[in-house]
Amino acid sequence: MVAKNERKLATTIMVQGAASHVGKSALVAALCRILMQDGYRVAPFKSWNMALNSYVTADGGEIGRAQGEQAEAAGIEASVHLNPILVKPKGVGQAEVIVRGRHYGNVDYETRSQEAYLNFSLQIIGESLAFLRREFEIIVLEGAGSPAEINLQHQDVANMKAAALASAPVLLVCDIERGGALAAAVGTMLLLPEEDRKRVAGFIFNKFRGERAILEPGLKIIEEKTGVPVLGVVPYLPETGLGEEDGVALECSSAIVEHETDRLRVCVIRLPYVANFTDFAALAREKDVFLFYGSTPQDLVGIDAVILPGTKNSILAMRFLQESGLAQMIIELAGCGVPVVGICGGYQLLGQSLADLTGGEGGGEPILLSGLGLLPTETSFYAQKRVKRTNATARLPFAFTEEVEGYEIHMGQTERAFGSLPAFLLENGTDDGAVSADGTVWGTYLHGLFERPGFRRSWLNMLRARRNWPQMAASAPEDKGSRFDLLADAVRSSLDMSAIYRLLSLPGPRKVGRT
Amino acid sequence: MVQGTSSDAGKTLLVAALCRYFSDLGYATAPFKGQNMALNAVAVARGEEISWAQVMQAEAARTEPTVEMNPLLLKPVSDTVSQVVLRGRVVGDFSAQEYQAYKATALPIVLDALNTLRRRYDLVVLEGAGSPAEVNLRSADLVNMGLAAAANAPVLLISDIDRGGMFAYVVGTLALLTDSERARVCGLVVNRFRGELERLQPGLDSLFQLTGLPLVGVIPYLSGLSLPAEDSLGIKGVAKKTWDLDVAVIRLPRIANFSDLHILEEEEGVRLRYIMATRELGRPQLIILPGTKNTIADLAWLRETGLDEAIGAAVAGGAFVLGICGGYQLLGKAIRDPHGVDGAGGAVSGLGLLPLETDFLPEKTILRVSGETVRHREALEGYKIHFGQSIRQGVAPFARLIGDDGNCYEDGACSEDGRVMGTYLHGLFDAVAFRNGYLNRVRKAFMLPTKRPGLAARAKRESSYCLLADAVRRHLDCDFLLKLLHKQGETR
Repeated sequence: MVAKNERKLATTIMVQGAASHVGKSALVAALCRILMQDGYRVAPFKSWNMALNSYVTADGGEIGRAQGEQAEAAGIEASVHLNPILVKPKGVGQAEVIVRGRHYGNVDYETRSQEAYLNFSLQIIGESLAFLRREFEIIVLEGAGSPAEINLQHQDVANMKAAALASAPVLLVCDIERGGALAAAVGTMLLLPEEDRKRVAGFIFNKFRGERAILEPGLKIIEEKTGVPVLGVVPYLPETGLGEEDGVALECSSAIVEHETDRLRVCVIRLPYVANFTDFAALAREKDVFLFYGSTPQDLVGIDAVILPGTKNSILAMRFLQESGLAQMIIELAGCGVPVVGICGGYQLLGQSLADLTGGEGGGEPILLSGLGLLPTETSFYAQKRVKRTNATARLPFAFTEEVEGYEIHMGQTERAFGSLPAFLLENGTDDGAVSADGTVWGTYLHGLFERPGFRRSWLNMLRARRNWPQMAASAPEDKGSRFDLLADAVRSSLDMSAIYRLLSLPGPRKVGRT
Repeated sequence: MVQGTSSDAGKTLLVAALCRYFSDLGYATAPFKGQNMALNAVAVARGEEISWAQVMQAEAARTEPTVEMNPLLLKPVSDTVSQVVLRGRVVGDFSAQEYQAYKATALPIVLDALNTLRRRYDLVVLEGAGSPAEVNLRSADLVNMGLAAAANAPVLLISDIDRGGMFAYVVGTLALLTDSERARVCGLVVNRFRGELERLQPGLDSLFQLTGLPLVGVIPYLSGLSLPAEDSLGIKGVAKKTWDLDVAVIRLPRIANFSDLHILEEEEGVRLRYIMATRELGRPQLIILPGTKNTIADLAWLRETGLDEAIGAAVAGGAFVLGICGGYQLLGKAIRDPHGVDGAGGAVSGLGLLPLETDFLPEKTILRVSGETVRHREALEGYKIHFGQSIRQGVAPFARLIGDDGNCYEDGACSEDGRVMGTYLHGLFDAVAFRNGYLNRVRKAFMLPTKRPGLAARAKRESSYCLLADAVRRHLDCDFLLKLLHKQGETR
């Protein structure tokens, strides 16, 4: 038996982008999958991530959603080391910092740009990386934004500093659809300091449509100018269902369409600082559901159910509901028997009151606000954060014993009035959430509960029953693996995989084909 | 000349802003874009069409749009084929390869148009396309540095900072240009900045040290502009707080000349949504069929999706339907294309909502018109760009129009009860009288209270031009811009 400290360290490769939204996350997921298919134990790693969607690891830590998904692609259990620093923006200049899955504190921009903070970050990153390199054979690192933001380079721990810690060769991804990709490749190289430039081992041009022959002369010139080879031209990738990393995609998917006649209309309220909105992806994929994001009272006309999602800032969200007239509309709908669901921050909003005595949510002054008053609960915020993954049993009228699996990530404690009923029973014997006396309004801290086909279908069938529509059977559990395989196939055929194995100092696939 | 480090960097609006700024200073200013690939065209004069963006920029410059401002217009017909319009007239449909060969023929005509403008105006503001650093395409550059050299124009480089990597895009663009091209680039404009300038400043300082390229200004995210981004459908992320009219626009796959609809999107009380499936149709009070590059193919699409029947059912249920240009042709009984002008050719039956037959003939109608609606005598102004002649049978026309060719025309058709209407007139919603009158007639039919008229499209655009010129004055180095101008004046 080989002792742990004598094991060979994992080899590394890093994916960085010439701009935001060039498709790094999906490429990292694809590389993880490819290397896993080829027989290696591989882990994704993003040293520093600014994102609003989290994933909860088995040990109750919070990491970026994308790293959780990439871990699934790699076929490994996600750990907090995959994303040791997670930054969640909360308001202008303010952000919550999560270190190795745990709430570390709210840190302002000034602090984050100080040298001491930089060293602190690098130490955390270095240790997590070292841990992973002992546990796995290959680490695929992901950068953030562009490594060539010369006003930020000194404090950027997500790109070249992480590559240096990992001794990783870097693949630079450029988005060709947007135009100017050749310039972005050359310009990034020119702006990198000498030692960082040497790390760049290849370019990948992503989101390509058209004839490669027309592009070829441009690629030649880039290779000549920089001495760096083009290792792939990747076409538009197939739909992977990888969770969207931040609010931008949410913005795009807001085609508000009303008067659906043959599907259930479920409206998710677009709260300010909406967080963990990936909760609803599984609902949106159901054939009889039309899920959309609403932000005005008119959006709620004629809908089958309202969902209040999580938010990073419940106080601001409550003010938004009041100012937009949505609060009144939701109360009226609930009065008419339209089901209302609140998840996490949304659950807090459904209660009688929200108290922030430390000023942590709003910034400064103690605050006491009335909630929507639809559930007999009261929420107070304090700095301690609760993060855990749990199994639970529903205690809801439409799904009384349905099993779910979910995770909690929240600050704030919610007290339920004596004599009222909880929504879920947790595996540790405590209960969670609350349900109104007539069962139409309920709220919970559990994220991800709609992932389970059984529970999801029970809820949808309750909505169908309200329309006198026939019940439907639960859909089969989703096979994420085959989606990752499709992604891997598309990327494998457009990358120079033998060059990538050379960069990894590995001979090639350990086994041919998939098992 | 304004060039960008990538697509969608903000060139079109910067050109409009500069046009208004220099016009404010008393210079006779004209916009120019050598070659534009665009879906929205506008008739200018004498049966010529140019892209919508240059017409908008001309308006900002307070001058009449002319064909010289956009001598070469490409209208995508499919992924690989475009209709080529030279000096406002259709030349034909070209594949990407055929077009590469055609460019050499077009070049002298494009340069000639530019020279005409230079003789006519004090100042011409040129707009580039895409990025000038697409080195694989440089050999046939009709749009960026080739044109700048021909016009001997100094180049302002604009870069979008919002998507990250801005420094690399700028440095890389300069690195990929030849020495003589690089020498033309005289200044940098950073666009769509959000945040605090002092944090960006160190980066801008080192960028200047690296490139020697002077910074002309940092423009923040501008809001409150009533100008659609070129060829964009819908105002992104803007949800209306209140509306009473639900308007469904059928988002035809080959939709064209839809700039008409922007003013409706902004109209108070109107919620405009673009739909592509029957389940999205719902119960709108008004359905609009917009223009299309290929009427017969889009009719087949309507049938495939079942939208043809859904629209019919909606009309039977009392909804209003308005067809504009290609949409008007779709409303008729028959569409015949014996010469294959519209596409593959053939004869098909239309939606049959108006007693109307359309024949496609090789001649294209391009005309600026003004006049009034027949029934309510509301003033109208706009333009027509279409193939195909439509013959009404036994229904009233929509409007009586006078063309800039001096002829009178009866245009469009209107059902007895006014619920089904079609017209070839683009820009029909720009004038307040018809827009307000028509929407209020829809409201009355649905027992909704009528609304007071809003602003004319022109007035709304006017305030946008003022905002843009203001942004130039506030965020750009105006001394620098004027020096550029004077230096050129001396060498001329």
